[in-house]
Amino acid sequence: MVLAGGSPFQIIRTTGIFVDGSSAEVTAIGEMLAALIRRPTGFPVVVSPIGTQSVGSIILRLAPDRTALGEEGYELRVTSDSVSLVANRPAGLFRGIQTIRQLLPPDIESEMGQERYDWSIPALSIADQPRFAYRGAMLDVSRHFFTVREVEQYLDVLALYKLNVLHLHLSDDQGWRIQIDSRPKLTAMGSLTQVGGGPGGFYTKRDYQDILRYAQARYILIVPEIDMPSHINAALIGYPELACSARPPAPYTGTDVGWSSLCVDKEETYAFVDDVIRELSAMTPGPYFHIGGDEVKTLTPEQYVKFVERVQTIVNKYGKKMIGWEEITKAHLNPTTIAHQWKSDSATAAVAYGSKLILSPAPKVYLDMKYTPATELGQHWAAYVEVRDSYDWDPATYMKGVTERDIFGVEAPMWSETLRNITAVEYLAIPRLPAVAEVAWTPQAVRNWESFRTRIVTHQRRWNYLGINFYRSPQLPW
Amino acid sequence: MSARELWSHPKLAIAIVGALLVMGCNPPAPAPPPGPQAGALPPRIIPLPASLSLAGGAPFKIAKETRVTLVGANPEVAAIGETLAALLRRATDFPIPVSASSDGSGSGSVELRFGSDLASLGEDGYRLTVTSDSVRLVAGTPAGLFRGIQTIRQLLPADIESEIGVERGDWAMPALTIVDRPRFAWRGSMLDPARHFLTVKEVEQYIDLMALYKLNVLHLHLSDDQGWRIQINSRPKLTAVGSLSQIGGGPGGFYTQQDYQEIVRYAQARYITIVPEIEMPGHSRAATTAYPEVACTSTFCVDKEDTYALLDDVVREISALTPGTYIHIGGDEVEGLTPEQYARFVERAQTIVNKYGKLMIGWEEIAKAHIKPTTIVQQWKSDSVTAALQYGSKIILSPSDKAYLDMKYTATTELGLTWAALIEVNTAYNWDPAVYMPGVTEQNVVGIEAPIWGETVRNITAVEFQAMPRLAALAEVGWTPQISREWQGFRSRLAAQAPRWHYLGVNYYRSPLIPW
Repeated sequence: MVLAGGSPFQIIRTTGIFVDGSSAEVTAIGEMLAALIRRPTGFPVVVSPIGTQSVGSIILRLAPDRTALGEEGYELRVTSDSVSLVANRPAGLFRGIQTIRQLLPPDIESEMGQERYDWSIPALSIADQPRFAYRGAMLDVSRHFFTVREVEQYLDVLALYKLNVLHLHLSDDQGWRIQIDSRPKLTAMGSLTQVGGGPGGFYTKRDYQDILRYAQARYILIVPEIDMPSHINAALIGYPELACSARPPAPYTGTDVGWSSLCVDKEETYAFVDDVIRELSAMTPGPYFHIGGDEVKTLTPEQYVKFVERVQTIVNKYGKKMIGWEEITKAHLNPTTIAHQWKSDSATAAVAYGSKLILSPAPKVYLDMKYTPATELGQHWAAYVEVRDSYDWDPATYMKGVTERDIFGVEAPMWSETLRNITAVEYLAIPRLPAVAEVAWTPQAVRNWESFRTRIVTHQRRWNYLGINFYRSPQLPW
Repeated sequence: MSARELWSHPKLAIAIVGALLVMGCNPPAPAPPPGPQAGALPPRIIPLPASLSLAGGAPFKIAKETRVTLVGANPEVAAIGETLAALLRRATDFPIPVSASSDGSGSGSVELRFGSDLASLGEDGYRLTVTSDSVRLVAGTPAGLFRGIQTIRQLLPADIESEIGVERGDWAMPALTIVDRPRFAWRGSMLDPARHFLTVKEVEQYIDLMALYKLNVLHLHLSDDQGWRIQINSRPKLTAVGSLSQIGGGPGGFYTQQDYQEIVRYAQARYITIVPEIEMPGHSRAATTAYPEVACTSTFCVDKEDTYALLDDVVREISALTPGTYIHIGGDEVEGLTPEQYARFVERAQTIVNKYGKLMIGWEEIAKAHIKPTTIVQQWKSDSVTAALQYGSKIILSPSDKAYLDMKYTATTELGLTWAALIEVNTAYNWDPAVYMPGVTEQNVVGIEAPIWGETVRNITAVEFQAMPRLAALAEVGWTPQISREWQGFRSRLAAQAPRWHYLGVNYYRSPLIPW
């Protein structure tokens, strides 16, 4: 980023947005920016195809020859005359718009007109692209169910901080949350409760499509997870014939882990797994299917390995690449399979298979860890994770034997045992999720805690406008 | 051991509370003489009970053996007992069985006793006695028991609000006696899903918050220029055409009749009455866009029979879905009608509402029409309220400079508006409904209501930022006798609520006036 030092660009009543006329996608991105600007300014902000450009315009352009910008990179040049945003791909334009948004005063986030006579963007040049291709957050909708609207609110936060994956943990012991037509008892019997005894819930296929569309419009990939062979009690309530659990399947509202299991030696189990993966894969445009695979306490190592390898075959059969928590590296993995690190003791084995890693180190990025011992929400089995802990680490040196090239990206999971609504989720997510977003996006050499802490506090006014709850960390100069 | 009647004499109570607070924050030297409550703060209950005396003995501790027993139980009381047991189980991991008992229930129990002989405690009143041995909650109505449970909840450590087990040395409630009942029968809040639609779950979250502070009316502003939010089977275009947007251009939405009934049920389980409002004759663009034949300039066509046929359909269907007594017809801020046209419209609306067995409420402008004594007038700006008194109508007070939760706290608050006032927490707290308006006395006032208009708030997290902590302040204005209320005590009790809000997932404004 280079500050040009000249006069800023001022958004005024006649400011228009000019977009590549050939692309409906770019027009839609232009409309999103226009809608954002219209709300607080009350200006008309007309979106038109690039042609006769005038002074006082914002130009969004795709440059097919600029392949070096990658999938999400962009260049932004702001002068007193114009704002020019160029990207190789639409996703890059969308990320660039988030930068424009953050360059404008926080009042830009208001839902209604603001009396403000200076909507200016400083003159500067930015050339930007992410360090990692996969920058994710995970939401556990099983331990507590979250409505479509709540998931969308979380997607809005992800979009603001240029994250590009939302991993949905759709099943666990406490609840099955996605409609599967061939196995109706999964939701009919498995979705009716949650931790704490609330009524639970599930997404119909239409709900899931709504979430997908909302995410797609923000260039965020949905990665569905069905956790197996353990963390599976909710599924077994309706299909007890598949149960080889330590306790008989029944609605469960507690927080123990590892005690439920599919019968991995029964053929019916694989017919079931096939049904679920087939239907959910057909609903999901993204290339990944997460099979969980963590915390299995009731199977022999051989049983576990055989199960993971068969499931890998099923996932691949339906055209998806498999992701699993790091325990899956005990099985023989395809190079296209991705291992999802969380506690580090089996993740490095993935490298031997040529598999990439997603890093979610619990003491750094598990957003359900308490900030301090006094934090009401969250747990603390891995660590207390203050904002600085989430910020001050380098994925490339976090684990011995795992280098930058082995890492697909970083993901911040939010397990929801203690979280009954999205406002509670946000209290644990903000400001740590923006910290993790910077870990994943910004080159390590450019990152700096002192700089981050002064930047992040200025976002408080945005969060208030947007209706986002947050933790007022004493580490930050509010 | 002598009981100390802390709140039996309000002025004394204030003095004692103040002294305890000073001791708590900044212990004076020499140390106070040791006594049964030395160093203890009074319970941090909001709204402050009408009467509370600390017994000074050992506290009651919730333990593995603790049970909930029901005396004089019916299914409704059994459900309240189960609600309490579920609350206690979550954080403590104790089994907390619930059982009925014909006689007293003895040691180690939390006893809920319901009897019509206790009717003198009133609709929402209750008596709570905590000793080291047991907790006894008695009331003459199920609603009274439910309110009493909120007091039990607030007497327990904030950790009781956790969704999962909390490792904690003890779960103690101070030994005390509370005899409590509300000052006003109507303690309400209003949400505006018309300007920004709120989902069923979002409304339920707000109901949870109201229940914690013993509010008993949720008024839903279901229609306005920006959106029509309730399914009306006989008029499908109201939602098909009128629900598709909102302020800021979002997608809007509406409640199906099933959604609405779910909200009604959720509220009923918390002894909260839903009051539906359909705005008329102004604030009606969403409806008149859907049915242009009833559209005149900026209002419904008040001189057309089509309009009254539409209103009849809407009021009939909503009345059938609403178990509560009241239908709110709006009636505010009407432009483009003569006074005669306006009065005639309101009177016909009143007839329709009454025809379907409901009583009418309207914003204060309706006092310009001839209204019935059973019709309630909702004050908001004060200039036409006194006219209501001549009809014998009661008044709900929602003074926009005290109780409008969409007003900004300070000039720098991001959300909210400023046209009526800037309302910090003390402004919302420090007023007396009985003297707020000349000529309007306590007898004229059925209660108070805190509206939160939705122009600037796009989700429940934003709504809560505007509501909390002012809603808690207004809950105390509505519940607690004026003579017992006092800002310094309130602010310290309020500060103690923050950990609860964190557990519950409630957003709030960290007012610099409160010692968080």
